[in-house]
Amino acid sequence: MGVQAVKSDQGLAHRAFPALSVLAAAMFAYAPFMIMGAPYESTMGLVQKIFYFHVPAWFAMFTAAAVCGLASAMYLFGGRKSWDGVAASAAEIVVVFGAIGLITGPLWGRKAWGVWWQWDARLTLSLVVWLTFVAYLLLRRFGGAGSEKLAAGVALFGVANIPFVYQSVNWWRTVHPKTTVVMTLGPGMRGAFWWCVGAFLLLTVLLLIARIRLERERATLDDLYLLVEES
Amino acid sequence: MTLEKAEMRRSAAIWGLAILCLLALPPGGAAAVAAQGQPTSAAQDEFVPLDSLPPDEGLPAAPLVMAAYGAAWLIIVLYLWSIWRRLGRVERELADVARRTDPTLSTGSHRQDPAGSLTSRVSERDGLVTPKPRSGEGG
Repeated sequence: MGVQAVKSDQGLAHRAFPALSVLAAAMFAYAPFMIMGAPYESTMGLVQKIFYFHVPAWFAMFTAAAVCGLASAMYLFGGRKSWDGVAASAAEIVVVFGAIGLITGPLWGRKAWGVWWQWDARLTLSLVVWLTFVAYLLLRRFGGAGSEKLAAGVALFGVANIPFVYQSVNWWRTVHPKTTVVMTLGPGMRGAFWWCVGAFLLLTVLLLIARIRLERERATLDDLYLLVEES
Repeated sequence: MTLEKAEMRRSAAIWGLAILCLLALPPGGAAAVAAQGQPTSAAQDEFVPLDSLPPDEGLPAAPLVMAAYGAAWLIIVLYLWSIWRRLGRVERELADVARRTDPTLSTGSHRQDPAGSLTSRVSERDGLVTPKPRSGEGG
């Protein structure tokens, strides 16, 4: 898939953007009603309701991280500058959704476990991945000329950690619930959960479209300044 | 004499009532009344460790749930606002650069896309879009 294909996809995405925005807004507006209607969990009670935003935020974060990793690989091995813009856009979204996960998790844990934070495998790895993408953005911001390739390498390192984050609860003993809880959700919880996952993934797509557009316009502006200097 | 007797009977009744009230207080009630508004002696002399809190003293969940949803919404809204602000700034700058370099862009049909011809030239040069025929260039 070349840059031309990405551009034509973006044209389609820009046309669909208003309709998708309305759909995402409607999904987020209805989400609280679904969450309130979902049954309480037997051991955690009310605080377990944080789950309906906490896990979808991590799903969104993983999706954006996958996009960032793929685009970084395409940039590193293909050399197209536009892929770098896609990777930078996705990295920012990784940090945003990771921040939501890292804030909502301790709020849940404070009640469920009695502590804000536990240095177990899942929580520590999640923090490391989030910090890796923060490092990516800082590198791009302050790394100077040529830091894009180094940042792309950092992104690959960050995305390589994602499977370990996901499987950590199954591989190691942690206080965190296992991945099986999602597949074994009861009917009342399942609907609310997948609704929120849909809303978050749609928001991720919308944010990516908007952020990539910003990156493209910045690139055009830079080229314009060069053109002005040349003429 | 009768008056004195009645006075004595009344004061005995008051004292009896007061003693009854004191006896009716729970054990240690008198001490609690005396020490009203002060910390209990247990908290002053020694801290007694307890493995788990009684259920009624647990942390309430509602503020935590509200804080979690509030934080999520706040982060999303702030990020949307940040993208909108940055896009606006870049688009203004694009229009400004285009206007400075080519004054004709500020008039006529180009007003819809002030950076139009220059951005098109840049995009076409980079092979990002299919070149569109400009006015006067024909078919």
